Parts: sequence; C-alpha cells; structure tokens
Amino acid sequence: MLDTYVPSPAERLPRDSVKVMVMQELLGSIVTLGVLGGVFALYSYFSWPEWVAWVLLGLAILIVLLTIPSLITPFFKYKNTRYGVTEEFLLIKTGALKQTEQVIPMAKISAVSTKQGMMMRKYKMMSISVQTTGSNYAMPFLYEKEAKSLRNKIAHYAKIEEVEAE
Amino acid sequence: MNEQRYHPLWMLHELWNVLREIVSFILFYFVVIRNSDLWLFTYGKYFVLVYFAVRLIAIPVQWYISTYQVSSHAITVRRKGLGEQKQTVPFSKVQHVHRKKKLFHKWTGTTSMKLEVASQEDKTIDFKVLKLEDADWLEGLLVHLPAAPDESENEVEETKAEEEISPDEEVEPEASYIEEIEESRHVHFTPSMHHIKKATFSSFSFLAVVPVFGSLLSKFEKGTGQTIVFSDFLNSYGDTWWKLSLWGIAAVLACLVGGFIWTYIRYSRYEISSDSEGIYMKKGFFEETSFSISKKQVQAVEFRQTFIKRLLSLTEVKLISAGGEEEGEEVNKLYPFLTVQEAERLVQELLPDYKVSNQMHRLPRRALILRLLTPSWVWIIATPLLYFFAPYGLSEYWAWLSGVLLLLVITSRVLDVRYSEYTINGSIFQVKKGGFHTKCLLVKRNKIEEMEKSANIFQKWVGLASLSTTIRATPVQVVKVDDLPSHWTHSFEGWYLQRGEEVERLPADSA
Repeated sequence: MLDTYVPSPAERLPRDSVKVMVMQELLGSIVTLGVLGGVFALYSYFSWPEWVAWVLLGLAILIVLLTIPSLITPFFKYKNTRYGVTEEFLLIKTGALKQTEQVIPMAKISAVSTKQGMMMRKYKMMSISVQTTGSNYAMPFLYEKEAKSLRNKIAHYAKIEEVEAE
Repeated sequence: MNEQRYHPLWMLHELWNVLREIVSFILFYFVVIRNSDLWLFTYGKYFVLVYFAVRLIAIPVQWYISTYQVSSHAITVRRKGLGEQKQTVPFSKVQHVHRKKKLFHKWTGTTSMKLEVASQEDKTIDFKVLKLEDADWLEGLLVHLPAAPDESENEVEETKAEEEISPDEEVEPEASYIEEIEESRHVHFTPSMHHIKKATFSSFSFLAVVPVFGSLLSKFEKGTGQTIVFSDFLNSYGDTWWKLSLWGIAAVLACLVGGFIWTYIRYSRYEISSDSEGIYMKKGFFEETSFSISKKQVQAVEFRQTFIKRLLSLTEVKLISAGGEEEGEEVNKLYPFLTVQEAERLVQELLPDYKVSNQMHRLPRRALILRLLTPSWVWIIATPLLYFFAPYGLSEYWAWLSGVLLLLVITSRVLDVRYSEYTINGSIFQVKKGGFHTKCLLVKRNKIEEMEKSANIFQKWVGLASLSTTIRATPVQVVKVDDLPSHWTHSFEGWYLQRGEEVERLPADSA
C-alpha cells in the first residue's frame, strides 16, 4: 500500500475570482449598511428612544470591522485552492492555516449543478457544486466555459458506473 | 409475477391497529376528560367518530387499490386511486431486508417484511402482512440476484440498458427454489447455555429482579391491604444468624434465577446463518425479528466494547448497512455477548474479505503532547461559569469543581490517544477509537464513500494530520481520526486512490 504516487490537484481558481469575491463582500456590506441607514432615518423621523441609535452605530461599526478581513481572505482563498479531475476522482484542496484535501470517487457523486449570480455573470463565472451521499462540495468560482466543461466531465465520469453493490 | 394485492389478512392487521387506537381514545375520553365541559370535548367526540369511521372504511379501499409486482430485477408497488402512485425499486437498491413476526403474524402463519432502501427519493417498501413462503422467496431473490445496474442514474442509456439486462422475466414463487435456498444455508452461531450465563452477568440483568420484586410486593400489599415492613419480617423470620443467611442466599438465588430467565427470553433465540450471497440473523422469543443482508451490501463491520465487556473480553459486532431507521440498529447486531475470539471467527466465516488484523499502529507520542497542549474550550468556558453561577452551596468549591473538570478533560484526552489505533490490511482500513468504551471499525476500500485529510498549523509543525472517511450508513457515518503521522495519511490517500482495483464495473458497452 505504501509509497504510491499521489497526484496533487493542480487547477487553480480564475484570477478574477478574487475581484468577484471582494465585490460580493463589499456589496453585501453596503446593502446591510444601507438597511441600517434606513432604520436610522426611521429613528430620527419617529423620534425613537436614544438607545436605538447606539445599537445602530454599534452594528455599523461591527459590519465595517467584519468587512475588512473578508476583503483579504479572498486572496488567500484564491492562492490556496486547487482542484483536479481524473477519470476516477475529484480532488479538492483548500485552506491556508488549516489545509484540507478531499478525495471523492466519481462513482459516488450523485449530482452536479452550476449556479451563476449577477456579479458572476458579469465576469463570465459560475460556481459548481457536487453532491455525494455524505455531503455537498462547492467550487465557488470558475470561468463559465471551464465550469461547464468540468460539470460535463464530472457527469460523464460519474456515469462510468460501478455496480451499485460492489 | 402478475400484479397482486396484498394478503387479505392485511385488512385484519389494519383493523386491529385502528381498533387499538379507538380503545385508547375511549379510555382517554371516559377516564381522563369525562367531566370536562369544554366545547372542544363536547363536540370533539363527533369529529373523532367521523375520523374513525373514515379510517375503517379506508381499510378495504386501500387494500383494493394497492398492488405490488415482482419482476426479475425489481419490485413495483402501485396505488391506483383517483391518481396513481407508483414506485419501482430495483433489487440492487435494496440495502437489507427486515422482518418482524408479531403474535398476529405467528397465529396467522404470516410475517411482516420491510425492504430498506437508502436513497432519499425511494421509500422503504413495507409489507405489513405477507405469506411466509412469499417472504422467503422474495428475500431469496433480493439477496441472491446479481445486482442489476439501476437505470435511474443511467438516464441516457436507459433504453439500451433495459433491453440488455432486463427482459422483465416473469418470476413466480417456486417451492423448490425456496427449499434450495434454505438448504444451502449454513448456521454459524446459536447461543449455548454458556453464552446465556455470561450474558446474565455482563448485562447485570440480575439487578432487574429488584424493581420487579418491588412492584410485585406493592401489588400484593394493595391486594391484601397488609403492609409488609422489612424489619418486622426480619424479626419474625430471621431471628437467628443461620435463618438470616438462608434468606440472604435465597434472595441472591432469586436474583440470579430471575436474571437468567430474563436474559434467556432476550438472548436465547438467536441464529446467525449465511450462504454464498447473504447473511441471515434471526432472534426473538415471543416476537421474532430477522435481518437479512446481501454480503455485498455490508458497508462496514464494527466491534464495540463497553468497559465491562472489555474486562470480560466480550464484544459486540455490528454489520453496518444503509437504509432503515435508527431502531434498526438493534437488528444488525450479531450476538452481543460473544467473546472476542468468537466474534473474529464469526466475522471471518460470514465475510471472508474482512480480516481482522491484530497489528495496529498507535498514535505517536507527539500526538499526545499536542493534544494536551490544545486549550480545552469546555474547561475555559466552564470555569468562569462555575465561579459566577455555581449553584447555592457549591459556590465555595468552584476551584475544586473546575479542577475535577480539567482532570476529566485530560483523562479523556490521554485515553483517546492511548486507544486510537489504525492500520491498513490489504483492502481493509481498520480503525479503533475510544476511551472507556472502544469501537473498532473495519471498512473495505471500495466502501469508503470519500476521504478527507487535513492539517492545521500546529499539526503541520509536528508532522501530524487528521483523516476522516465517510461510510454509507443511516445516518451517514464519518469516522475521523486526529493526529496521525502525516506521512501515513499521505500513503492512505495513495491507497485510497487505488480503490479501482476492487471495484466491479459494468461491461464497458453498457456504460
């Protein structure tokens, strides 16, 4: 069993994914801040008790503080994520501080699906998720073309079916 | 086999269930809320009457519209009402067969049978009443048929696959076939007196006699209106030491005999048998349950030892399979009081592929050091909580309590590292975990659904890694071992990547 060659997954996420992730984070934060601003307007209009303002201010600061690290993490995500598809396996490697490597046999994949949000459409990207008996894996950002071909590849390989009860 | 209705006794079985509900409702109504004049109860009873009337009428209707059909590789259940419900389950999807013979079934020479399916779309096929011959026949088909590829996942090739593999032969129950199956079975285990004696002691069932005796006594007191005071009893019947010791001996004997009888009822009727394709377990004194599984559908084998069983070197063996409910867990246990040697021999006989290795690796010493250096969140959170919110009377001892907690945390970590063992033996991954109780799992490489290895910074510094493997059970089981040497997890991955070696594939042209 020992000393067998273990291929390391080599495919990377597209470079633009950093941009998209950062923009998604920013957009999320801006929307939340906007909602808070709306509540603040209501506060001043209806002259609600003063503590409401303090809570709103606290929440706003919290959101800003939380946004800062989430603007940095996409870069690390991009840097540390690798994936690979062979005829038999799907390999995913993620994580900077805690490195995780997953090996999923194609035959055990029960469904593949792709998803595309507004921002992702702009950069021609897609996310792809893979379902197995135990869990759900998502590869968040791939170029549309790649994502589609990967999806088809997985679907194709997954169909080289093992006898169900081997 | 033509489309067929369920056994007519199905109606009687359902009727019995509805009647039971009616009786319990009547009891509730007349005993509990007899005097309530809330509108809900005054008018509620009419609703309930209508409800039960509908239930009763529905029984024959349901029987009439439900059918099932068995073909050479699949079973179809159909319910034709205003719309039509149809479910086809290929035999290859059936994970195991679970039968239960209640008194009703015993009296009528029938059995209930569940075909457990693991996927989410398909439901368990549940025959509430089935003729014994039919059950045996169907079980034989399920366990023995070579797994046909299932079309549902093979959509594109569906038509082709169907032509090739399933000329949907009609199959009919044949007496000769059933006998043939029964004859080829080999019985591996039935409990001897010795086993039952051991079970009596290791399950502490003799202690169960005490509450039983207590409730009998209180019934006797109520019945006769006498109160029995233990000291009075001793004064009149136990005035000398030899009388007293006689009573003592009698009490101990009564406990032992009672415990033995209790254990006998629970564990004496047990039979584990197998043939080339399947494993069959039967048990139960009053109600008989049985569990049949195709050897191919066994997902893993688990040895479980409680602390007491470990002292007596007994073990419990479980065949892990997908499908079924939690309660099904009880069913897939091989006899729970086997000695370790017996258990290993039995597994070897039933599943020759699963070889138990006695040479397992321990976790390295640095794993223990790392584990001990990791901060314990439980302790860190609990200590201030104890300081501020300790219940009245304990607040002075918060430091002691916190110390005890820390000691427990440390002990459990040490035991965990000490009893984690692992190895790869051919195509079997064998892993053992636990502290006071231990659990040893054997999984075949091709039954591991997926694997994940991970390492955080600290683990990376000292060259350790965590490994988790997923096993198809209900619910899905993830076995995680922390702090293995990272070179070993690397070779584990290599080993796993070669799982193709054991995988049986469909002929190339059908895929």
